[in-house]
Amino acid sequence: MTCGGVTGTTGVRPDAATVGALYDIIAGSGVRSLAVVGLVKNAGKTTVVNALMANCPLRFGLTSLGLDGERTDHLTGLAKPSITPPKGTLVATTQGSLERSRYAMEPLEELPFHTPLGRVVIGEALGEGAVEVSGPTTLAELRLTVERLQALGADQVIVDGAINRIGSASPRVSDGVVVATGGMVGDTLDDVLETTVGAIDLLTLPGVAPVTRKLVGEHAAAGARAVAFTAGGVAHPLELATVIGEGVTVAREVERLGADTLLVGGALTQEFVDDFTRVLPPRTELRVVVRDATVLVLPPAMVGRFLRRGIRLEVLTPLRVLALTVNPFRVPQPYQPRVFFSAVAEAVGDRVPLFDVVNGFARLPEGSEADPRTSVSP
Amino acid sequence: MLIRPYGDTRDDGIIQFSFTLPMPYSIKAADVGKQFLEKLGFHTVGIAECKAIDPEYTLFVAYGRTDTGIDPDEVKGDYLEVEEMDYYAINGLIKEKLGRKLSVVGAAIESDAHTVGIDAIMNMKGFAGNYGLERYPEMDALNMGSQIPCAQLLRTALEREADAILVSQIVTQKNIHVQHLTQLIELLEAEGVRERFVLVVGGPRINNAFAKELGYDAGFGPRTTPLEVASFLAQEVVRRHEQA
Repeated sequence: MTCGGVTGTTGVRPDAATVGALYDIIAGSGVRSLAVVGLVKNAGKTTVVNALMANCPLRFGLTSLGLDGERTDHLTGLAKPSITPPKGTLVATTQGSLERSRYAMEPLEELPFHTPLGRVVIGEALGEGAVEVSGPTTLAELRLTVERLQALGADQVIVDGAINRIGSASPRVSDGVVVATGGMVGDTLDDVLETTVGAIDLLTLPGVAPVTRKLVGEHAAAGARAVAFTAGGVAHPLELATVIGEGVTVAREVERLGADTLLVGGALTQEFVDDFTRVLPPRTELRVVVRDATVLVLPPAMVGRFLRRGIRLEVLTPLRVLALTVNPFRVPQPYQPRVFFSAVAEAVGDRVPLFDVVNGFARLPEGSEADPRTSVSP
Repeated sequence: MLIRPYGDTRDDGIIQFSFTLPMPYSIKAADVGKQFLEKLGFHTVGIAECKAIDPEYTLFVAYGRTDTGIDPDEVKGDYLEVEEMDYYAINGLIKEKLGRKLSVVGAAIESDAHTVGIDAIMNMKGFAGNYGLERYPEMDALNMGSQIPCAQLLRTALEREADAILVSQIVTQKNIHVQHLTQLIELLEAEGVRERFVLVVGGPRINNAFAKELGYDAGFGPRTTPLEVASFLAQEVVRRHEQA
């Protein structure tokens, strides 16, 4: 492990041992395309990305679903950490961003994707100075960009997220996820903990059993919008262009057919869950299967509503949530780092390794080896 | 070339200020206001007006001088560079290259009740001497109004086989509206229909780089005219049509 790099201009220096422990988890997972998603702006995504690149002996590829490395945040006016990739890092960004980082990057090739900031360009970092990273606009383009970075020689591609979006965690784009939470997630510590736990609940929803996969997999792959399955595995495709706005219709069909499994091929929204759970008779034994956790465009509390009705929510492809990073920063006054880390650790429990890469705290699940210098017990 | 504010003479760096401090007016208020501006880095500060506007608040009007300059050429574009066309050219381009009407759906989404932005761009009477999109014979424009849930906007866009979705949003201090803007994108991606639409966001705190960050194809800020939006839509929809 090569250590020691300074990240950003905001003076944040990551703790090398903690970053090393996070890196070990990522390297040990075999993940080659890693999404770093934040639950809010200023959750510390970029600091984690910088820390990984500066402290780990790999050739990284880097792109972003949003826009990172700009000097100040457009919305909050807060200073953002600059992105300083080591020499040789492959960066996929836009022409507009490349122009602002022209002395720090050597352009290699242009991809055919249009963004508001011009085409997407892959460049090689010269290892001197900051770059602005803004990749393609859509997830399909992001997937192709990741493949291009890998083809050009990146050992590990990092996809930096956008604002609070979780789309880049989709298995269409990446095969592992690091989630960043922080003091800016809510107005109070309780809000922060509730939102963080809710997000982890959602992102770590269980995968379907092999028997269910066999039942629904083909229909999902064919792009079916909604299919109800009755005993014996008989499929009843519902004639709908989308289930959005059709919660009542779908619930009535499930009831009429006496279905025990429902595949929803697209998004699951709050409005759908509201209508669906209102109309469906109580004590309906039902399993609802969706593609993956990123199609759940709803507040995490809605998942609880399903569970309380006895409806099991499962995903065809579970996300591999490798770690949760914790950042005590908030405006106007940051939380005391150790107190904040312990509070998050206690609330989230043992489900996912936890890191504060700046203050040097880590909490690994029971049974794994932790570096005693960085380990704290909550 | 570095330029500075023009107060009385070119490059004198003088700026006029108007601000309120949450303190009762007193004899020392003028000094408080002066020292505040000096803390901000201004010198030769003069307080022109200093008075109570409430028992607890004092209003200041002041002048101060700065030595800081800025080079406009160094400010890089957060603006969408669209080749602006006129009304007839836009209709002509759509008719000739698309061969059908360009369908566009617009709304202010979720909790946002402000229709002024979307109306300025879409309503027939238009804004700033420009006709709105509804007036374009080659556009099929639907303004859904305000407080439209993302799900409803998406359904309507799918039903009408829209080419473009316009979202108008006041981004507030609490940033709840940012979540609505990203929610629409996540919804489109989850449904697998993101590529079907040109997505445009507009509002007083929107610029083009921020639109990129949010996941939109273009962003328009304050003072945008319908012509700018119509030019972009026609060119972008035609470009995608020809690429397909």
